[in-house]
Amino acid sequence: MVAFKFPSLDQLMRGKMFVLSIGDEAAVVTLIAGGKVANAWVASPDPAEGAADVLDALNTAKSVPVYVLMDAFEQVFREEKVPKVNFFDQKKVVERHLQMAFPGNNLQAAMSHGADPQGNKFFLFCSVPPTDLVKGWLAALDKGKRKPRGVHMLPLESLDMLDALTPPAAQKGVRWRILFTFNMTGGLRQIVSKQGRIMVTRLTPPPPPDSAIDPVQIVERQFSETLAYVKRMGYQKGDNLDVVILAEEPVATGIRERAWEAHSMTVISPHEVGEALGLGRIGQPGQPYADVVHALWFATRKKPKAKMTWAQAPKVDYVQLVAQGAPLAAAAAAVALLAQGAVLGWDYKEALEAIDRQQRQLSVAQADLAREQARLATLEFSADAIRPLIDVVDQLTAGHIPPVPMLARLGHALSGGAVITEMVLTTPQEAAGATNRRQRAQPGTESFVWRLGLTVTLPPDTAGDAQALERADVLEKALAATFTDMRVAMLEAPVAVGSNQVVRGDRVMNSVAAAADPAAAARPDGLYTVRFEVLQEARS
Amino acid sequence: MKRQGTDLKVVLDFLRQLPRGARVALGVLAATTVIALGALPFAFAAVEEADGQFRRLRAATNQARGEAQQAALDYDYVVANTGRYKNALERGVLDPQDRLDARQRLDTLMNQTYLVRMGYEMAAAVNQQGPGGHDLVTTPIKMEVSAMLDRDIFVLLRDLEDAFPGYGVLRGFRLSRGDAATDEALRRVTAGEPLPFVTGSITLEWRSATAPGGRAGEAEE
Repeated sequence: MVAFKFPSLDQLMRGKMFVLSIGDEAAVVTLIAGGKVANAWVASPDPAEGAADVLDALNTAKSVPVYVLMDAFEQVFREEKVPKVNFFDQKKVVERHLQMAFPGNNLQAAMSHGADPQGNKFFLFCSVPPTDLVKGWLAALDKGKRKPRGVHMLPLESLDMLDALTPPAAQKGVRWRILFTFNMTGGLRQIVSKQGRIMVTRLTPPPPPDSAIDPVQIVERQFSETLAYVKRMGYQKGDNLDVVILAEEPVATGIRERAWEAHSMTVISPHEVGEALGLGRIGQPGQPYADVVHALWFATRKKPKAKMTWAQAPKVDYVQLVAQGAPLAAAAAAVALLAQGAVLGWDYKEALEAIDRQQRQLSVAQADLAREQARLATLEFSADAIRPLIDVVDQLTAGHIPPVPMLARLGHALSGGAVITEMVLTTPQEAAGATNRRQRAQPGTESFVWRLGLTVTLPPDTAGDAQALERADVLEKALAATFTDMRVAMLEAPVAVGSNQVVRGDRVMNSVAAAADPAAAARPDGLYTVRFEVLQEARS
Repeated sequence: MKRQGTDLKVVLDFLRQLPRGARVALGVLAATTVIALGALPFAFAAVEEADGQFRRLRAATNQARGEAQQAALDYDYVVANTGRYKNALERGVLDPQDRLDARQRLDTLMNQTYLVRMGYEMAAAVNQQGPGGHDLVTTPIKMEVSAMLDRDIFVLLRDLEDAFPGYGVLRGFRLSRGDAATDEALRRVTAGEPLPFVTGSITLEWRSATAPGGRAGEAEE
C-alpha cells in the first residue's frame, strides 16, 4: 500500500469526496478536499485482495461520499440517432434505445451529443459489461457500506481536460485530439476526440516492471496504431491533429525530441498539468502517473458527464396485471365451464334417449328371436343335425345327369319318323378318361357339363337332297326349341353342300324307268343321315 | 406456521391492492375452478357410464337380431332339406358299399329290364375326405349292354340311379342301333331268340359316404 499525502488547509475548506479509480492493474483511492488532492492510496486491482485496503482508506472519512471512475477494458461507446419526440417522452425513448443498444445486464449511460437540423437528437450510449472486476468492486463497496454515489467512465469524464490542454487550432477544419496519460489503474490510456466528441479510447497495459522497453517507444508505437484507427474513422490529411501527453522526465524530453505527425504536441508532467488546468500543482515532481489528475479533474467539475446505472428488466406490476387479466380470465373460465356443462348435459340427454331407443329395439329383437326359436322347435330336425349330411349329399350328387328328363326331351324333339341310330353322352370326366384314365381333363376342355352326340336317320320317304336338308333343318330347330338352355348344332348335314365340304358325284343308270323319274336321280342308295350335338355349357 | 402466516399476509395485502372489480373476478375464477374440479369429473363419468350402457344394449340387440336371423335361415334350410335328408337316409347313403349285394342288385336289374346281355366291371373304390368328417366313397363302374329295344336300355339308365345304396351317378354312355331288322331276324325273335338290335356302354359312379369316425350305417339325428 503506497500512500501520497498532500495536507492543505484549502482542502479542508472545500467539499470532500473519495474517487475510486478501478482498473485492471490497480485500484487508486483519491481523497479530494477543497479542490485539491488530499490523499491517495493504491491497492490491488483484485477486489478480493484490495477491497480491505480500499475500505480502510475510505473509512478514514466515513461521511465523505465515494465516486467510482472506471478505467478498465471493454468500455463501449456508440453514438446513435434518436427520433424527435416531445420533451416528456424524450427520456423514455432514450432509455428504450439504450436498452436496445446494450441489451442485458450491464452498466450503461446516455449523454446528449447534439442534434441535426431536422431535430433528430444524437446520444452517446456508453456501456460497461458486468465483468468480475466491476461486480467485485461494487459488491465490495456495498458490503463495506460505502455504496458509491455514482459510477463513471474515466475517458468520458476526462474528455474536457483534453480540450483545455490543447492550444488554439492552427487552421480551420476538423479537429482531432489525442490524450496520452500513464495511469496506475490501467496503463497507457488514450482518449481520441473529434470536434470535441469522444471517438476512440484505448488502453495499453504497462510493460512488466523489469522490462527495458523505453516508454517513449511505447508511446510512439501506440500513437502510430491510434493514427491508423483514426484514419479509418475519417481522419484526412489537412485535418487538425493535437496531441497531449502527460509524462514526467525523462520520458517527456524523449517525446519532445521525436518527430510526430501532428499539428501540435503538448507534453506536460502530471505534477505541472494542474497549473495549466487551473487546479494548482498536483502531487510531487517526478511522479509519472496521472490517476490523481483524472480524479481531481472529475471532482472539480460541476457535474459528471454521465452516471452509469445498471440496466434492469422493467418491473412487472402484478397488481395492474391481475387487475387487467382477472376479469378476462374469470369471464373465459365461466364461459368455458358453462359451455362444457352444456355439452356434457346435451351428451347425457342424448345418451339417455339412445338407451331408451336401444332398449325398445332390444325388446323387439328378443321377441323376434323367441318367435324364430319357437318355430325351430316345431321342426323334426335341427339345422345343425342335417347340414353335414346335406353337404355330403351335395357332393355325392355333383355332376349327376338325370337321364330320364333328357331322354324325354329328346323323344319329344325327334317325333316324325326320324330314328336315332347312335347316341353318345359324354361328361368332361368321361372324356378325359377315354384318353387317359390317370389324367384329368385339360383346363379349357371342361367348359361343358355334358355333351350329347346324336346320329339320326331321316324317314325313308325323304325325297331328294333338298327335302333332306329341309327335314334336317326342321330337326335342328326342334332340338333347339326343346333344349332351349343348351347349345344345339348340326355337325354333319345329310348332304355335303357346305362351302367348306367336298362334294363328289358318281351316278349310274340302273334302268330306263328309273332314268325317267327325276326324283330317283337325287335319292341316295341308303337313308339320309344327320349328326347333331347338344351341349350343356358350364356356367362361368 | 409462521411461514404460512407470512405468505397469507402477502396474499391478503396483494388482494387489498386490487380494485373491487378485480377481486370479484378472482372470486368468480376461484368458484369456477372449484366447480370445474369438483363437478366435471362426475359429469364426465356419468356421460361415460351412459355411453357404456348404450353400447352394451346395442351389442345385445345386434346379437339378438343376428341369432333371430340365423334361426330364420335355419328354419328355411331345414324345411327345404328335410326331404333330401330323409331321402338320403332312406337310400342308405351312409351304408357300406357291399359289392356282393351290388352284384345281386345288378342281376335283378338285368332281369327286370329284359336286357339281352349286361357285362360290368367295378373298379377299386376311391376314398376322399368330405364335409363334416365324412369320407366319400366312389366306385367307378363300366357296363357293356345289349338289348332288343332301346327302351330297355333307357329303363336301365333310369333304374341305375337308384340301383345301389347311395347314388348311381351317370357319367356317360354310348348306344348304337344295328342294321334294320331283316325278315330272318324277325322270324328268330318271334321264335323266342333274343337278338341284340341295340348295343352300348355305360359309365357310372356308385357314390356313398361313411359317417364321421367310420361308423357306417349310422343315421344322424
